[in-house]
Amino acid sequence: MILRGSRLGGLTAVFLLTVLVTLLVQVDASAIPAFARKYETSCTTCHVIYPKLNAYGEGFRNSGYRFIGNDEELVKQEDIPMGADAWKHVFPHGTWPGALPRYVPLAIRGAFGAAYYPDDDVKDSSFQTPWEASLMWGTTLGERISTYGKVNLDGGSLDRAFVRFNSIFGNTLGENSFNVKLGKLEAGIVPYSLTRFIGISVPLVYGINRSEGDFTYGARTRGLEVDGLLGHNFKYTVGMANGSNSFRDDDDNKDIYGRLACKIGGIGLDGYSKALEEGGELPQTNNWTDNSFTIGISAYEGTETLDDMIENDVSRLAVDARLQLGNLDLYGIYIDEEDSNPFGREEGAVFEPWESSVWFAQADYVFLPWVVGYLRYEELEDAIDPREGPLENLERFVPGVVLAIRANIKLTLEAQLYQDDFNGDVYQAMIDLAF
Amino acid sequence: MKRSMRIVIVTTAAALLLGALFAVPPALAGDLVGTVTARGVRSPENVVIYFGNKLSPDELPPPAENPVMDQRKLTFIPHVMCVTVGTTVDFPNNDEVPHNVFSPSPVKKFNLGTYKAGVVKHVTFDKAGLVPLLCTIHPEMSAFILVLETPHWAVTGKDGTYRIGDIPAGSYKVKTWHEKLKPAVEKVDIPETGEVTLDLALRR
Repeated sequence: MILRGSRLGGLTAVFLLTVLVTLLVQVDASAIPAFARKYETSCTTCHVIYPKLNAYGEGFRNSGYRFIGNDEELVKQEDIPMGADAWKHVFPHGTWPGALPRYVPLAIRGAFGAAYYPDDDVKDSSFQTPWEASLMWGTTLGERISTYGKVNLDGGSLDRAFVRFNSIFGNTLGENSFNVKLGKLEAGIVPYSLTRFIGISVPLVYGINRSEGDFTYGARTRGLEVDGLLGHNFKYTVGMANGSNSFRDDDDNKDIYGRLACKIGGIGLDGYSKALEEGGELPQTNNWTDNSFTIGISAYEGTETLDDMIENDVSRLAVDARLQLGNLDLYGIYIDEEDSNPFGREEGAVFEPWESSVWFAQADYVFLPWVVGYLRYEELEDAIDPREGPLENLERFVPGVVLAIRANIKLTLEAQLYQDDFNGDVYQAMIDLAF
Repeated sequence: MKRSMRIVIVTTAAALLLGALFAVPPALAGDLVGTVTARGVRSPENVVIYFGNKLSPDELPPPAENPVMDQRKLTFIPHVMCVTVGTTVDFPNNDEVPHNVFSPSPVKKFNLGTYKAGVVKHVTFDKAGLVPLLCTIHPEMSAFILVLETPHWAVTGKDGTYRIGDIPAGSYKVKTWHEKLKPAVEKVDIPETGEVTLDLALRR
């Protein structure tokens, strides 16, 4: 029932309209994004509900956007060879053969929605159309090179773009044991990528600036990263980056970071399944289940240049863990933070390092293959700028549900419920499509 | 009995006796058949199955005619060819454009130059090993010639099946080759008659 003249009435109207339009519009989902086109398969081959990856999707990504072992059998749109394979015998007296994707590997993603701010007297509701409009590319260029990128069409900014050289040492050290990525990256210390979260909002630990400069844990940065798989269950990442969002590094120091992770049980990080290879079948019957436990540890050391060329040293140490059990996926991260804090002021203490911590835990649950609910709790210590003095914690609950209307179209309903007096709650609805 | 009839009978008997003494018994040989399945490639086609026994060039029977590595529609035909050491292969250009066939292989390095449709060139392969074929004008063209020291080999078709016939009875090593799949080696005992089945599962 719509209550005229009330804030709830406005939100209800928005929600009902969104749902109604969704149900009435018969969208032909045969149009498919870049990888789905190449393999002529549904999004659900690699995604629980996009963009959240299932175990096979993680393996595909870790392998440089290929299915290890049987990729050629699965590709439906064969690449155009830039020279027959036999040219490898001619090298260096001939160019090493490569390949081009047969079709330009582009995909478009758009998200359109609305938000309601019950605690905000000035703007109690808002259309967010578009919330996102982006152009993405992703493909392999022959066996050992892949590339991925995303451009925000609303604003024309480059979100991410990189080239990845895969399995540089070939089978000598093991497939995927040494890969190099160069470009504008999301640092590999982020275990649950912002780009693959299933809800509307991303955890505050990634989205909030937590230093005196512009350092944000999940921010894009220009740099070089080496990663690899040791066996099927260990992954390492080390990287070096500008550390700032600008094209040119604003200091003469490079930020460095690293992460080491181990997965116990389930399908390997490269998509390998011992149960399938040796026993001929998987124990699970759904492609989103992958009973396993993953733990990771990461560190980040960087320097940012503040006003008057003063430098702030940024240190982060984090532990992340993930438990997947049946339809439940429980994961989170704890980040210990320390900045040298050159502008810091405390009574009787000047330039004391600023120390704090942030963490979140999220549970995703697959109720039905097309219905995934999630609940996140996050806590940020010292949520107020350290220069301002008195410190408070920021706590937030984020419940939500994602409904996959089609494999490439979804409706998300989410609430962001703050546990303090100065951040207002937000209720959001979003229609998201990719093609 | 007339004298002429006696001569005929004696002559015939002598011939039969000599034939019995010197007749060559039929060879004791079996066949090897099987199916190849391949993981990591689109099709189990063009897998070479060959025997590991090595014969000297003098023991290798030459082919009745030169095998032909044809060039049509910017493609080498066949994609994979097996020949025995000492075989001469013909390289006709039956395409509508010129081609330049060459091989960088240390087994047989050659460059036939650019030649137009209708011209046939020849190469003799006098050393065992793998000879990849390429065209300098059309980099997407490729083929392989496997020069073997055994006459017992087969190349699988699209369905992965193969048959190698008339193999003298004995124990052998059977090997495989494919441009992308890992090679395999299996032992097989060939009977004096009949066939043995050897199915192979290859992976990349």
